[in-house]
Amino acid sequence: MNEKLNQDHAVEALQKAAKSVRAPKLDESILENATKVASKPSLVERLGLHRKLAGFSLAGAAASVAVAAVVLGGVLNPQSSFTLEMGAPAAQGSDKSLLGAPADSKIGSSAVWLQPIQIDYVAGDALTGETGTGSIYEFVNNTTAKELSASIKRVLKIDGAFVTETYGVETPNGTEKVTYFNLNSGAINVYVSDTNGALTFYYSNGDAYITGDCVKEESSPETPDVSYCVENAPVKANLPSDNAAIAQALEVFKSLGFDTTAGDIKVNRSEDSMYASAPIKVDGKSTGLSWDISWGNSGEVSGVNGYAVDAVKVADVSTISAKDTVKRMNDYRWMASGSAELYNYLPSVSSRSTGESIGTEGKKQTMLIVKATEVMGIIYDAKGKIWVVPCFAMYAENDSYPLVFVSVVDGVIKLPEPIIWPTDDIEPRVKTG
Amino acid sequence: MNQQEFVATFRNHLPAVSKYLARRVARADVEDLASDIFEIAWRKRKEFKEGAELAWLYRIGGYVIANHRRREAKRAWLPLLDTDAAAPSAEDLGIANVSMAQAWSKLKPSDRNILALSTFDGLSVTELAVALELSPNTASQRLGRARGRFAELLETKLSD
Repeated sequence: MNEKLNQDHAVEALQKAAKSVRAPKLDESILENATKVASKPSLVERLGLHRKLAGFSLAGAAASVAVAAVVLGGVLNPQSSFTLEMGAPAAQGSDKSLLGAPADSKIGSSAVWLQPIQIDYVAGDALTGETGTGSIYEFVNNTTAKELSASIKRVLKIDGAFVTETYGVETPNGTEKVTYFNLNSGAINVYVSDTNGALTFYYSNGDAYITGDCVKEESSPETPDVSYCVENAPVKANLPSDNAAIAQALEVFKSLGFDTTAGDIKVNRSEDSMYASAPIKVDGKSTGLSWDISWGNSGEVSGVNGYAVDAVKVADVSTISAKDTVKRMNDYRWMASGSAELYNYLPSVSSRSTGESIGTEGKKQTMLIVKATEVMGIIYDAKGKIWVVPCFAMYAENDSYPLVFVSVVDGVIKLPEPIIWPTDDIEPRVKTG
Repeated sequence: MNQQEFVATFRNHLPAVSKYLARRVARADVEDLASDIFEIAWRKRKEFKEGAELAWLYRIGGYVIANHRRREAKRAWLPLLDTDAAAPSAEDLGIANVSMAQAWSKLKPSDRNILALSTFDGLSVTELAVALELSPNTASQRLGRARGRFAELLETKLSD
């Protein structure tokens, strides 16, 4: 068997080993709608926006699963009156508290959600039936987009002016107006948005990465007079030490309004870049929101992003046990986003466990949950607002990737109607009636 | 190109774009990202090359997915224009064979990217060149190297 044949066989085997793709049918209206978007900001300018407004995000993402939720009464000790609008179709039963009316709850209903791969989650012996209490927090902006933009310019020493851009985004609630404050100056891009559930910003500096001299060029037969660089000389990175990085992170974060501690900043480095990240904490526990700063191989800051928010407690609530939370795992609507540190030790290419546990569509699998830890998780309500609620991070046997599920008792969080996932290639639909 | 011509030109590519996305992102995100791809395609329709429609859409798709992943993983430090980040993982592809999945995961993102476009999306070398903004020569060489590396890695995994 020669080398060519080996390659062909390997690629052929690869094709056979991969599952057939189940792609949704795209409606032609996508094309028509695309032509109606006349002056939409570029994709880079729109980073991080539309998914949250869209309402749902299912499996696959480590830290951005969204759950449309409505918080009702029934809390232990409300700190203030709070009511959120529900974006999904009206739920069955009363709009009042569901506490004491478990029959109205759709948790555990067999009609909830048909996953492409059906998994039956089972609580292991290590999980307890102990209930508890916790608190719900709302993220509230601690400054304005205008003031934050000015701080970013000053702290990161950026020339140029912010430009305000507004456009409409189609959401389940109709067209919502979205405003961005953009600044583009050379290799520097900044955007600030306060219409994303929280006041957030993103800064990037392309000049922080140095490209080595071209050491190999090639031309194509069609254009022999034009050569392309196909290989650059390696560049020795000039990255800061961990201590220096933490000190710089503390300084930048604090100057932009985020107080954290050196102990909360985690540094990760590769050969030619590094980053430091600090979670926004409540009750001493990390939430799914963080501030991040990164450096390019030049040693200069290549990116900073964060949320200009304060967590405000709105209610104390009872929580269900880890064992009972496992029963919620078949219902995606109880999923929340865990903090980034829950996923720090995973390979970057993988967001789920590898191997034979995947790609078995149509078969029901059993997954044993062997460990559950109390964490604070992020959920989004129907308007895209961000809330922090008590959760459990659930660890399946032989898997280091936890799934985070809400542990707040029934009746406090009102779920949207479930989406029924079809078995063929058509769009999912919202369950009604 | 007016609206009718745009719709007529790209109508037949909707299923391919959906499959391309479904191999790389969660199914729930496919429609959103497809909208992004076609919105960009409409804005940049003057750059569109006749006869290379699908490859051109995949080129845009590379940026859209890379940014989507960057956003999902909260990895703001990833270079903005690194379309190799759009390469599907073993999990994205649902590679059920452990050795195969491990070999795929060991490949560099750039190798996974070109190999996926060739093997799963069926692009020719000429189309790969358009999708990856390379010369056809370079695309051919890179594809050859990626195939070779994958075969080597698979052989190593199988002999472990």
